[in-house]
Amino acid sequence: MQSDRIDERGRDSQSEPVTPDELTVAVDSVALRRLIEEVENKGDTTLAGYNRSYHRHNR
Amino acid sequence: MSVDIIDAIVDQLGTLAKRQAKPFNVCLHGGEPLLIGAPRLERLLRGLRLGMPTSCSLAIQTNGLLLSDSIIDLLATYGVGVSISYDGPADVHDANRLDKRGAGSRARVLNAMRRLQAHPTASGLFSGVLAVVDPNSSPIAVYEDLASTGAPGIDFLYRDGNRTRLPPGKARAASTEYGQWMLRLLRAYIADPNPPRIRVLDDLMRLILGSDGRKEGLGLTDFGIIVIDTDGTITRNDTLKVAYHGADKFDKPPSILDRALDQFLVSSDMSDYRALQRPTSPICLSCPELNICGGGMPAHRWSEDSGYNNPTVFCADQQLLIAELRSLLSAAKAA
Repeated sequence: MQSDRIDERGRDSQSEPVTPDELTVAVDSVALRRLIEEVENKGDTTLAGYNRSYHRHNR
Repeated sequence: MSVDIIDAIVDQLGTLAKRQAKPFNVCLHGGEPLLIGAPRLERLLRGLRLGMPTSCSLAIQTNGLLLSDSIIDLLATYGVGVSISYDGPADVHDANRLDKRGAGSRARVLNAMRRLQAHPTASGLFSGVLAVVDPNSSPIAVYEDLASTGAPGIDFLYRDGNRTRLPPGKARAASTEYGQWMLRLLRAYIADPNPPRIRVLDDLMRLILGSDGRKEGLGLTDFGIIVIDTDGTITRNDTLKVAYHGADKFDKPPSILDRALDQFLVSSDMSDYRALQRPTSPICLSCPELNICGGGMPAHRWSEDSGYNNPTVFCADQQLLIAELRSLLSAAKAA
């Protein structure tokens, strides 16, 4: 991760309301491309395990 | 957990693995599963590994505080995937995750994560971190913090609630605090040139692209999740506790000590439980996104007036998120 980009995101989170329209510009995304290629190739991911969600934050 | 219970679990799951064609996952969960202690943990893991084929995976969800080097060695020996409960920046993590003295656990959890990552088998051992969403936190700061740990996978859980008792941070069922938070998280994820895996977002995208879901509460896959408590009681998914007291219990709670698990799994009790997972609300059944959302987790559908016959309390959040993911994937595929 580049620190300058982290800082920029931090400022964004404090000052800008995020709308869905702002998100639709990032079509050249590693995360999106990776998923599309996996599904097209019927590939698998490295994630394993199942996580339940009854957690102490509810108490 | 007594030795008798451990041996019964090992015996019953071994029998189930032999009789059930489809492999299953065994996840040690809590509370904190490492409270079992090293000798009994080894007895359990050794028995499970000897009794089940390797296609049946072993996993543990831990807060990391008892994750010593010797425990890590033990988990590596038996091929147990380790997921650590970790919420991110100190003001987020330490607000909810405290040690028994009441101090925030973040520094100790990070130390445990580093020890895990330094283990020679870390690449197969460390599956990732599990974080609970605080809708009042900065999703950008949370993403950056979680990604900086080097965890290969990240999963997020919404805080639990239902239509009678709203989740923390949600003003109304129709409001979208969690959806807005996830949209900002998504923004960081898709902009990252070296992103980890975010399971909940990847699963939603996989479903939108026509593939299968892998997480209860998304998609329409039936999940046969049962819980074996430390006293041997077999229960439904314990997330159901957030619906009402006892919602996770079967009518006549069976015990692993005296009920054959493979027989119980084909009983009417189990059929009723599995049916409960399927959405029944007319709103859900006519919703074009049902195949993606799946009606959410049953616990989140609950209301005192109409039981589970409702959309998830996160319906508006999920609709917002799914619409954006659809738009992004469409644009990315066209690019």
